Amino acid sequence: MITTRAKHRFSKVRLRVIALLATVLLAGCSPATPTVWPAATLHDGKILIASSQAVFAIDATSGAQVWRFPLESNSDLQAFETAPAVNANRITVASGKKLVVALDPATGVEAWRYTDPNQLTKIASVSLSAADGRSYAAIGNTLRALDNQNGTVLWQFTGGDEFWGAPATSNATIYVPNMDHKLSALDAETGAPRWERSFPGALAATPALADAALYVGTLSRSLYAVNTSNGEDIWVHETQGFVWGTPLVTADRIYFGDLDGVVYCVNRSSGSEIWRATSSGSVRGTPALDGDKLFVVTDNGFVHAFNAGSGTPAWQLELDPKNAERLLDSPIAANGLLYISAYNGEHLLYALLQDSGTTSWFFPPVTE
Amino acid sequence: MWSQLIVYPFTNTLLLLYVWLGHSFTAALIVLTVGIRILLTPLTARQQRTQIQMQELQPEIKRIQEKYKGEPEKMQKELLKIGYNPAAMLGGCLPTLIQFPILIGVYQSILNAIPSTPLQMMDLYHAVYPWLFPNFNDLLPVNRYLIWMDLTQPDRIYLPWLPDLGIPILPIFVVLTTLVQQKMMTPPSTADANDASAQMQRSMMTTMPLMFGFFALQFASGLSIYFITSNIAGIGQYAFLNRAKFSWGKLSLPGGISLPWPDYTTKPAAKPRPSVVPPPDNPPGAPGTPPAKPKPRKPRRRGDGA
Repeated sequence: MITTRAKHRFSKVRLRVIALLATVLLAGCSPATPTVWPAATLHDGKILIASSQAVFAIDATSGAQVWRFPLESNSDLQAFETAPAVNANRITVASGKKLVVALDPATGVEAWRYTDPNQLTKIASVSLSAADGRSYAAIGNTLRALDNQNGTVLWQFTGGDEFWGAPATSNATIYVPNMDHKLSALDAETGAPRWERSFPGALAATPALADAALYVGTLSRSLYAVNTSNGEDIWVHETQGFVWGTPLVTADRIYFGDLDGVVYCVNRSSGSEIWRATSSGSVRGTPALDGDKLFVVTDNGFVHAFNAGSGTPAWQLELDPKNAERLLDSPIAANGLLYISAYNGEHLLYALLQDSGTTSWFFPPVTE
Repeated sequence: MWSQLIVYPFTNTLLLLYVWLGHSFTAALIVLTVGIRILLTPLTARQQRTQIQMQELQPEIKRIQEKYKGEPEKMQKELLKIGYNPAAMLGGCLPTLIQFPILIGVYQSILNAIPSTPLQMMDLYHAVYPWLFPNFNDLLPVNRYLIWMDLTQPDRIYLPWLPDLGIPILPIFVVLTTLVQQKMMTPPSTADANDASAQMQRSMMTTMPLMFGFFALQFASGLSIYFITSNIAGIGQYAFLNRAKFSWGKLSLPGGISLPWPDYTTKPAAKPRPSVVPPPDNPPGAPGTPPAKPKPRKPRRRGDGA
């Protein structure tokens, strides 16, 4: 028999070893932060922002909360992963918990809810857009057209992989990007395919649609201008890094950034480069334009303002190293302010003065 | 720093294996795991040898424990004399302990290399070495499915007649293979029921499989593939190192299922090692005593012709 002291020593060592193993593994493996970034859109003087915990409507001038959905924390109504879509007097939001919810834009009251019937263990990837009284909601690899008034499924389309980017919508046709590198044009009424084409990279963002052209960023090193009638290339502009964000299209120019931190301005009709500038980190979202200023935000928490005509830097700043470590959503420029949603930290939304970058207000979600 | 030193190299290795092995992430993960086991062999083999040695000392330990029941100090002295080192008993979990930083790195690199969310895709973009993957865009999206499993998600299979109950197939295999490995590394102790080391062994036998099963239940099924492969490789390695000591039996489970199970009773126990020293007050050759101490060799001198 070994002494009692020795026995206790063994027991303590065992407990310590197991506790250490468990702590180390859990610390290393537990997701401490949300797996998606918040996404915002501007509608009727309100910033609508979908986050991992809720959807908020925030007064664009004062930063005050107008409403939130759900009213209280609810584990079934979380993981809102894509920017709210507005159409036909409804706001639709989509959750990684495989549901789409339509809300009243003024009050945030739920009008209807659609739940994906597929049994999936994971938080699904979702994307959403709306037009002509329909919401186009993709959950995983299935895109559904839902009636905006009651949530009825009008038709559905299955992709070769997941849909990370929402469809670009026009009256008669929608253009659906898929992670399997394919872009499909579907009849908006029936979902019937019109044409389909492949790209060298996965399509993770919504293409920009303007007149008869689609501007498609791909997870390869190119931006494509594509003819909407047949999917053929109009021009291709090669880039340094992957192009993830939806390009910003103006009357004669296109602005976009890449994951290597380069910001581009190209001629809309020819694709030739007008200027390029360097930012401090990966540019994932769409640039924002107001007047002669172009704004981009970066994955490492910086905000850059450029002269839109020449690409000359106007100002740059690190937004909030404590509360806005990563800036991955597209900024919104309006009312002399620049609205930026932050990936993690206490503040969900910042409003900066466009002229100087000074913070006008920030929005902390209600502490729960 | 952790990412640059551990996660990124693992991520790139996984992707490289993924390319070489016909875009099968499971095959890449299995090969990486076996590679890690091979790299850790010097450490694990040393620990396993120490364990085998300690197992061989068990009869002698028991004899000393019985003999010096009321004299703990003398007992300790005698135990030390035969080379019994309680710290070495922790050897069973030391290889696991060494594996933990690697385990965390592998887990993070699994999630990194098969991005299932946009955020993970961003992280992968930063993790990939451009010089190694100039056509990285061709690899995306990385195939993360194996039969019914999404390797980035905890494993559950839903049967048509049990739509609400996900059956965790891989976590069950993790528990079973960990159990077999633990059983191999802690054969039946001859020490009495109050022996602290025996208690610890029994506790580890149940705690470790349950703990790893819990992790497999909670985390991506890619981690379960790592656990299972690592356990099978560990079982094979231990069976090879300890081949003189045991053979495989069968463990019968409910439902007529039988599991390969280490069986130490089918082969005669190995002779105690010559390092075991008989107590000085025991006549050599008496029942229950180890073989006589080998004659000490004369120290070699230079010029002996050796």
